[in-house]
Amino acid sequence: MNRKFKASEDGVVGIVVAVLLIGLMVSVVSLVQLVYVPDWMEQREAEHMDEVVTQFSQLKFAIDTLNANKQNYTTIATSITLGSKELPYWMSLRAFGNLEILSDEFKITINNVSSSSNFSIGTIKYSSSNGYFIDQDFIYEGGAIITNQADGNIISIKPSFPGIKKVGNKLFLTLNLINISGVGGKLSGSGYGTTAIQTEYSGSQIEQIIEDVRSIEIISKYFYSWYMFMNWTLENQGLFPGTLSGDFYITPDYDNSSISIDFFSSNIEGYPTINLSIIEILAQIGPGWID
Amino acid sequence: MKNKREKLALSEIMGVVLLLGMAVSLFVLVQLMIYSYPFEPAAPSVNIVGSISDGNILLEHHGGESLSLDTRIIITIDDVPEPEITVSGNLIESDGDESWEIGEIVSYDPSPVDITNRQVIATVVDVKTDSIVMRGILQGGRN
Repeated sequence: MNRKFKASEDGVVGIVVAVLLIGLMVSVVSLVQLVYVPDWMEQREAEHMDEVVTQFSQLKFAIDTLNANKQNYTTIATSITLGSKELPYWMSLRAFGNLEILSDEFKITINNVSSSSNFSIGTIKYSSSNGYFIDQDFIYEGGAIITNQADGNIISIKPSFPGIKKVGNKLFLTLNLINISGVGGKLSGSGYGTTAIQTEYSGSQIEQIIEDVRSIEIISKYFYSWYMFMNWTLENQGLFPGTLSGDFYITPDYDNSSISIDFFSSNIEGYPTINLSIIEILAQIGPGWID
Repeated sequence: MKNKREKLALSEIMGVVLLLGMAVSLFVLVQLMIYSYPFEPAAPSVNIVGSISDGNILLEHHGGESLSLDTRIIITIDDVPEPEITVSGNLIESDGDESWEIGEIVSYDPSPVDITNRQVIATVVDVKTDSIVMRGILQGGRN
């Protein structure tokens, strides 16, 4: 039995239109997904990084206020937004972050004619885990806010030290450092939401006057920021850099992540006197306060 | 005479109306989704802080994406533009990798023009995206 096939175009138009429509949809969605979504997400994550910098400046303000008032049992809470959400309807990654209180991250050694004094300081560090924008860290270290990324770091908000005063031909330096100590075991927070960080004046501080200081050594992961900052500050406050006829010279040590500030008595009488003050601020991450 | 109601053509018309409706609503949806976001090429996300120190104009990279050496810098002093400069040749490099990165400073000496008590405006233009990444009054002047 022979079957006869008869060409018929009934129904083809509808299917062709449907296929074309689906094709159009798929190509538009693919274009947006592959080209525009990464750009939008990068912008969104960059804005989140700006937000964290602002929140860190509020944290610094809170710590400076505690330091200025020096009142026991006064707690100030600020907040840090750890991450940012993904785009609705589109396929994108959520950005996460980590906030932690670290001890002994910043070390300072002051050497005078006869002895060395060592001090360790705790810090607060935020690290981002971005999906599109470069990862950045923001660190509260010694009273400064440092921005760190893969290609370098910088002190974004400068600390209040060193204060420099010349009395006659004698040089006096004031170093007011903030030491962050985590208490109650609440030392870190991760995720993408907003977490609180609570700070409290501890009532304890170290006060020392160290005379005839020959050198100061600073050990920090962000030593290059300190190198730039100390050079800029000392020069801008009237000291001359140089080993032969200068007042100071700063040497970075890339192997040990440190800088050494050497003082000379070419233009000043003797060597500088340092008035050191280290104020301890207690900190906890998360709501509530545990002693 | 008997009137007979034909329903044969109805499905054809309904099909076309539904397809058209679907097409229109899909296009509207896509348009709404796409046009609610900016489509211009995104300017690099970078924080640049400008200042004046000892008569020099300083522009410091405070984090974000690095900028190329052909990034243009337009300085105007009391609304008079200085000859346009690029980052190349004015950058104080820390690592020699030929890009303007975090912590690095562009320093421009405007002499012999004296900028004391005069308004100084700096504009940084990224060449790749042809967009302004920073514009600021570095010194207010007395006008």
